[in-house]
Amino acid sequence: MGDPARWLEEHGDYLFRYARRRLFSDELAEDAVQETFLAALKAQERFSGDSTVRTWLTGILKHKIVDIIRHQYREVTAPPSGDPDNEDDWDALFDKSGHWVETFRDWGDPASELERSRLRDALDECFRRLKPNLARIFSLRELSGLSNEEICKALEITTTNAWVMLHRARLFLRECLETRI
Amino acid sequence: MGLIKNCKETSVLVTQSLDRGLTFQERIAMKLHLMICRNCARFMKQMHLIRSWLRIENEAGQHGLTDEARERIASKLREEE
Repeated sequence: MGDPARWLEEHGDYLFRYARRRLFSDELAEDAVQETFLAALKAQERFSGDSTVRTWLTGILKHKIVDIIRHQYREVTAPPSGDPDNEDDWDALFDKSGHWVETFRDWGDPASELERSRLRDALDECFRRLKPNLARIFSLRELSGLSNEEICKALEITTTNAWVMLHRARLFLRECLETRI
Repeated sequence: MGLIKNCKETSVLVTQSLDRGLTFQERIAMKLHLMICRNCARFMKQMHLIRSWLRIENEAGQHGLTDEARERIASKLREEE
């Protein structure tokens, strides 16, 4: 395996970007990278060599990211910002008979480099506008690829609560992207 | 549970289809509605596009660790070694 002294140099930026994308914060991403290297130092002998060092480190980082999101989620849930009973904000999308009020555009999948970079900016922007706990749960689902069961376990919420929050996150992102792409 | 769904109910089935397996009946109800509703069909396409866009790891142009953070982590690792 690589020399631990060179991990930071060889993989630090990669791991930082990976974490930053999922945690929406430079500071938290730096913490996650540091925690990853510290855990890796302790577990060096368990590195099997079946994967590359980067893959191994990324595997450790993934767990650190879930830990950080879990702690953050719990800290701010005192007044539950992911309250499933608060449906007002998406009820307005439908008329009385349950039909969409608005007609959606056909988005298409951007092919050019320029379009793709604009899309990336729009996604970042909309993620930033999402309520923090919706962004956290959506990050666990879509960016870390956790299953609904894993999310419920990590955040200690019910299945229904998780579905409702994911639903609201998706509706919000759709709405936000509609005018930006 | 009836097979006739409005847009609001269908939108829930569409997003849940991304997060869990729908039951047979739910799947039929969703498909029936999508056949007659262009807006919901677009909604579903948009939901899938968002998912596929988020899976693209495109870190070009994203900044890496700052020198300060790098130094802080390096000294922490020296302590531990």
